[in-house]
Amino acid sequence: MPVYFFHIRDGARLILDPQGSDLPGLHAARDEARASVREFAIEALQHRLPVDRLHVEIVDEDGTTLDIVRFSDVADGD
Amino acid sequence: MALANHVLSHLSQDDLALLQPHLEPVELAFRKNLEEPNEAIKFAYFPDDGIVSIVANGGRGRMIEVGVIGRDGMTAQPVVMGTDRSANSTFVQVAGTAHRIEVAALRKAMDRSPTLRRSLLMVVQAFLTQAAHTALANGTGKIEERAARWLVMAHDRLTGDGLPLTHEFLAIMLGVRRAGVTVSLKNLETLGLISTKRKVIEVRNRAGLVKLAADIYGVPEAEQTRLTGWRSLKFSR
Repeated sequence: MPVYFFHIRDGARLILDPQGSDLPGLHAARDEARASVREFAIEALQHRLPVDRLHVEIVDEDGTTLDIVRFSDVADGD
Repeated sequence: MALANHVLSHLSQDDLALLQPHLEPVELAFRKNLEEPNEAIKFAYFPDDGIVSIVANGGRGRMIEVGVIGRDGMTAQPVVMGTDRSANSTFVQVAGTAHRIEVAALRKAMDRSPTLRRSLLMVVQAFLTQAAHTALANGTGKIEERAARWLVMAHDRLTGDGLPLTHEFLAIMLGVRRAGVTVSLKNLETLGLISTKRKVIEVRNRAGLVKLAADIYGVPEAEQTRLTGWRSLKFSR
């Protein structure tokens, strides 16, 4: 299975996923990223921070950015 | 017999004598399954080191950790309570060593000694308090607080400051997304409380972690001291 890295962009800093995840394909990686962004939004509200502060960059093993998932992508629900 | 496990080392001589002939030293290998949901439990483990996780298993692969056991406690608590299995699973989260006893021998010993049975029931009661606070942490805590709580509880039970944990495992135990753990651990690192290497989380400032988790850490520990006498060697730091 391909390995996908979920790096997290927080303003100027990029928090790197140290290990990556084995997932069956980009669709699964996007699902994981969307679920993560939803969870970030919940945490942000609990910390009284903006819900769209963090976004997820899906990167493959070669370092290519495959997609970026933001709060706006999940804000209207599924 | 040198016994690092608190439960065993705090039994009366007579009670320990009932168990001693049946205690076998064993390795606790990482991810070893000690108890499966709804399967008869074979052994009770008394860890010397390492961390064992008790996990609630729901439908469609849903799971969350409900508690941890290390040198402070014992597994096979359903056996202490009078049954032979539970709906939870139990597995080794951090490798270590333990002494184990076949459940039949444990039951016989408990039948012979009311004081032994009582000692072990207190261990179970202490664990129930821990599980109640896991519910509190999961229901009201921010991921960062919950991660801090977990790290302190592991630190309490292990020797040294290095916790061999992957982000993936911590995410499964806390019931959160991997990315949530990554961000929380990064924040704890920025605060100088931990440092994260490849597969080891190093506790740098235990007092700071305790302070961050203040609302959801401490009560079960105090209760455990009251019930069983266990007090982590790390408490004074």
